[in-house]
Amino acid sequence: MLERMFSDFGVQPILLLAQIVNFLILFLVLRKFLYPPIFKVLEARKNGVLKSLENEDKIEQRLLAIENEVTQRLSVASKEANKIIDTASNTADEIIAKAHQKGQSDIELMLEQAQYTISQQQEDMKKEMSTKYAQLVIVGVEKITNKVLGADDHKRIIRQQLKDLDNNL
Amino acid sequence: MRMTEPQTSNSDIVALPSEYSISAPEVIFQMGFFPVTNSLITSLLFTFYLSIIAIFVSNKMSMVPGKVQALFEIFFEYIFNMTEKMAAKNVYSYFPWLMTFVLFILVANLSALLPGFASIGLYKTLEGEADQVFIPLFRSINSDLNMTLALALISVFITHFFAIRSLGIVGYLKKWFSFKMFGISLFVGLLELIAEFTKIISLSFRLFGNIMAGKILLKTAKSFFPFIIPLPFYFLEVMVAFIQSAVFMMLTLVFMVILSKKEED
Repeated sequence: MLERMFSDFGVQPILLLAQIVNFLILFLVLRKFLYPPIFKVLEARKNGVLKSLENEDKIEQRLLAIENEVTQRLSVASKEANKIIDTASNTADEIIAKAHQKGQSDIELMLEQAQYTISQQQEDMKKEMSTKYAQLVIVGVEKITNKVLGADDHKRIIRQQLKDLDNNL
Repeated sequence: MRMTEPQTSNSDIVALPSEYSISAPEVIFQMGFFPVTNSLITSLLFTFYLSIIAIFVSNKMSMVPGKVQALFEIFFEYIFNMTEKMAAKNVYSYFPWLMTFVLFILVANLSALLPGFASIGLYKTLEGEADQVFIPLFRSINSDLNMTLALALISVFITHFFAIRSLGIVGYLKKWFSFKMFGISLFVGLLELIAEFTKIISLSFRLFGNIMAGKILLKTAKSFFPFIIPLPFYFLEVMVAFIQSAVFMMLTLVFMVILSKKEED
């Protein structure tokens, strides 16, 4: 039955063998020439990808280290900046205090000078007023008495009037 | 030899003399006792051009692939990964065989659909026949049982070869001959041994049947109307070409993995 079937389908041992040999030749050629270079290229590409991934890890680690360093440096810089600000603030306070003190003393000085000037002017005015007043009193007395007063009278009257004026002022 | 129109009528198929059955390859010429058939010429041609392409590709491989190389690499990697998933450490032993099966069967199946494949041939006067008969010079190689049987025999042979290599001769024989469970295992082993022969029949006739059926289907469709009508069937045959090559490869891979697996006590 098998023989009949093979005969119907044209199966012949010699043709079967020829096809087997034919396929084996193709297999050997492909195994020799096609597969090794493809494996080589794929392997190289795979290694390249793995290397890239390794590099990526290294870069990530380096990035992390740099980020930490940046954070640390920022923290140190921040502390230093705060220190500088504190120092500047203290210095500024000191300067302000000094300026304040100086201003105060200047004001006091100016005030003293002004008071002195005022009292001087007061004195001058007082003298002037006394002189004018004495002259007015002498003129008044001369007119009342119709007599010209001498130098001693002048002195006496002026002293008396100035004494009264001092008491009134 | 001369160019002819494809045979387009059913009568052409049935008109072939009994010496030339449609399922058997046609003899083109005889070299002594050796009959050179059209399927043998075709398979030699495929071997030749696949070898040339392989040598050409091996010299042109680059790290930055072009479109063709990229496409081939995707195909190559897909089959390699699938083999690796199933065969693990044996992948480098199995893969060249599986890839050769796929390439050879796929190229053969697809090439058979090219125009001119069944229409270039010669007219021959056969013994006892008055009229000349058209004999195509090329034939879809998987529509020749010699080819599919050869592929199946190689597949089963290498499956057993790898099983012996990975289990050792004792481990391999234990798969078939075991006296555990009062000899029931021996009986099961014998059944499995018979099943090994059915693998040859199953692999060869599956591929042969599908391609032969496709060939007849296309011929029948062309006999109705040679334009447009055969087109859907051509698409179907393209699918069949891919599916059959994948099925052959997958079955071989599965058989290899199962047979190389150590029998659990």
